[in-house]
Amino acid sequence: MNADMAIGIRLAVGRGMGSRLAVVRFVLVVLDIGLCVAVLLFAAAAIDTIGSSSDREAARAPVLDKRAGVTPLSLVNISSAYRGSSISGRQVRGGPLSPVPPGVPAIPGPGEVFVSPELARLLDSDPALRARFGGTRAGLIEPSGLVDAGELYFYEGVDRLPDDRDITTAYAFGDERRGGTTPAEMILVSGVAVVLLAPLLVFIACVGRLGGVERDQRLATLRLLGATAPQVRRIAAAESLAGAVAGLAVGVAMFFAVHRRVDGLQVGNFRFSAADFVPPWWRFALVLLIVLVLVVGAVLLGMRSTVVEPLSVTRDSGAPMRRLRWRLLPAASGVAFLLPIALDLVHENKDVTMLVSCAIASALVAIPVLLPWLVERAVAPLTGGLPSWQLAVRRLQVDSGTPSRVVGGIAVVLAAAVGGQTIITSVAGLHAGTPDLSELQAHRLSGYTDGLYLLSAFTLLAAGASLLVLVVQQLGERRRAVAALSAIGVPWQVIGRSLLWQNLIPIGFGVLVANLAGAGLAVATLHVLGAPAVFDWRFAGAVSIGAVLTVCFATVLGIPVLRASARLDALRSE
Amino acid sequence: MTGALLAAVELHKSFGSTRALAGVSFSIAAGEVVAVMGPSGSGKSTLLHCLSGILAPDEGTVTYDGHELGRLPDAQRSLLRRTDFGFVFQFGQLVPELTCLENVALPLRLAGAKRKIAELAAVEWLERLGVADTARKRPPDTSGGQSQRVAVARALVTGPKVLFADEPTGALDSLSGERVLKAMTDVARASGTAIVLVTHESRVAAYADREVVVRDGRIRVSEWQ
Ligand SMILES: Nc1ncnc2c1ncn2[C@@H]1O[C@H](COP(=O)(O)OP(=O)(O)O)[C@@H](O)[C@H]1O
Ligand SMILES: [Mg+2]
Repeated sequence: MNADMAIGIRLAVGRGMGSRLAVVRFVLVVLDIGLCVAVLLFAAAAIDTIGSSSDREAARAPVLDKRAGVTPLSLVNISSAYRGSSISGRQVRGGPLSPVPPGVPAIPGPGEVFVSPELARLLDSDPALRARFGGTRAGLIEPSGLVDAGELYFYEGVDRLPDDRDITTAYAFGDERRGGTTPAEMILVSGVAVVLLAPLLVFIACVGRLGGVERDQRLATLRLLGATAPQVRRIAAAESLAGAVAGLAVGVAMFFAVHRRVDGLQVGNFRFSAADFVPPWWRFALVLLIVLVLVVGAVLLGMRSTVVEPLSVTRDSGAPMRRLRWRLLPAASGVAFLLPIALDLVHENKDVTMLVSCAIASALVAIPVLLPWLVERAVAPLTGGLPSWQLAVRRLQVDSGTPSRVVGGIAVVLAAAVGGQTIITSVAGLHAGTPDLSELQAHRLSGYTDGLYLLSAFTLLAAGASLLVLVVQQLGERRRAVAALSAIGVPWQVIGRSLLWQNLIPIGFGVLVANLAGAGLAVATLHVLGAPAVFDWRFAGAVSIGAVLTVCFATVLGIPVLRASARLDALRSE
Repeated sequence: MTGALLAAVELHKSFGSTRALAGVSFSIAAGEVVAVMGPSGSGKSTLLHCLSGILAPDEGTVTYDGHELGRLPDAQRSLLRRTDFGFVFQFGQLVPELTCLENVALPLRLAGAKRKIAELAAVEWLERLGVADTARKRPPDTSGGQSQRVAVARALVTGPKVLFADEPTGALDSLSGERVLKAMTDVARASGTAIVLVTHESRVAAYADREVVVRDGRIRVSEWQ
């Protein structure tokens, strides 16, 4: 058993040291899994930032119910714009028995002011601003009284509150019902986060399973040498585990390298603080565990439908109908999750949130599962045309393996990006029109929006990296066939164009499906939120073109490497 | 057929509508070297696969050392491949991720041997086949002749009773092909390993004890030298 593990690990290491193409592929896979892991770790930490900031917000929300023996604190919420960001705070008037808001040691006396550290820095650097805050600084507001480290906030003591404002009388602070995250926000944030993070998991699973053809060949050789079927599964598991661990190590390293640099970085209204961006150890461990299980699970699942025989590897394809039925499963479960909502059976916001998140996750899984089948159906009737087109179409008809996987990956990311963007745009539009939105909520929403933009940028980056991996992988798989074509005198231009077609046909298809699916997901989510959908076609167009260009670029870049290695192969067999 | 180590009786095998074997009987004694000749597509490889238990015939039986292969469970047949059988094919059977030394040590490691011990034995076999200098190289970085010698070393490292060789020199030029053939038969004879040698190289007769010719899924001529 230990020997099997050792052999598996040795094979994984060997993969990283073979031919030039193999090295490139291995490094890309490890970097790609690493990037996905790093983004997941940041997301795991960000959940806390969102949670903790809304907790802190709740802690300073006033309690309006009368309480015996308490002199209420009268306060007026103030907010003003300053160079694109907003400075907000409270003018307060109270007595010695009045409740003290969190983060300040005492209620400021008339003419005294407590300011947040960031506001203090601004005041020190800008005399004009200082003139607007007349009071003497009594001290700084501690982090427990601020939504985030970058908040520009103050408490100013006055002896007369302005008459033209709504005066709040607070008997205590810390009203969970008022300050906390609203259910609609929870749906928004968790929905979009699921939409944006799911592709990372899909990519990890796809990329982790790459090299299936070569792996199968290797395992068949091991069988020939007398390895039993369970032994071969153990070796394959150990091999994928080793690759996953390398990816995890890179991911954790990236996380900490970036982590140190983001302290104080400002993106829109969202300010990073390094302290906020360390997930608790158990969540950190959970992310790593999920990735490990995903990679190893994907490999073992892929092997389940495969009979590894000494002579070769035969795929147990079963009847076509059964295959399609299996592929319809995620899509069906997505619909099943939405059914209770459509039938008006659930009303609890928590339940709705959960169902919508599950439906989105199922729909995203359904895309890469269904697409290969769709692509095969779509290219089946294609014929004729230029030699390069004909070669490509024939190839896709025979086996759409890796190109289909490329498409599946792209489609998920595109769907997620288009869907996420639509939700963000629509919700932002919705809130812009809401008159009674509190200053705090507005601040928080813009924080989410910035966070989600950032997350989608990272996801797209990871997607680009994964695409590159998939294309390089595909070139590797086609090496022998390409060498054969070149040997019988097919010019390289034709081979190159044919490779390009082989990727472009499925991707064109995938882009189409992804845009439809993304828009569909967004409409479903927004329907639950009660918001009309606002489509950002320019964004959808840009990411679609981006995906297509990435594939073209990676293919064109890969051709010279392919050509060189094909020439080497030819030399060797002489 | 008495004293046969491995014997096949009336083997039939079809792939769809293609009849690959149409009633072949064959036997080989311990330490014997038998050349299986015949035109391409005549069923030589299929016969070899059935003899070694990696392909089940539609009809007929294969008996090795008193055991009928068709009745053995997969684990038992795996064990046989690990201990009693060795394989050399035309190409593609060395693991490119491993060095030549590790490739030769692999069967021993799959059987549970410690790495050090397995690699010591592997070095010895590489030397015996005259390719000790490839130990640290990967198979793609060696010549075709060297690769096949390494493959022979890997097939013999466990001390098998039968070596199944399917056109082991098919991808080599005739000179280096003949050298590999000579090295293989010499080493196998020295260790008492029987060889089922599929080939369509005519000069192979010089290295074999006996020659059978397969044509259209049947053994046409069987002659003792
Ligand atoms: N796995 C297979 N599937 C379908 N046909 C096969 C398969 N293996 C062999 N054949 C067919 O069986 C016949 C004998 O093949 P083979 O034993 O490989 O011949 P040889 O090794 O003598 O060239 C050929 O017609 C070949 O096409
Ligand atoms: Mg053959």
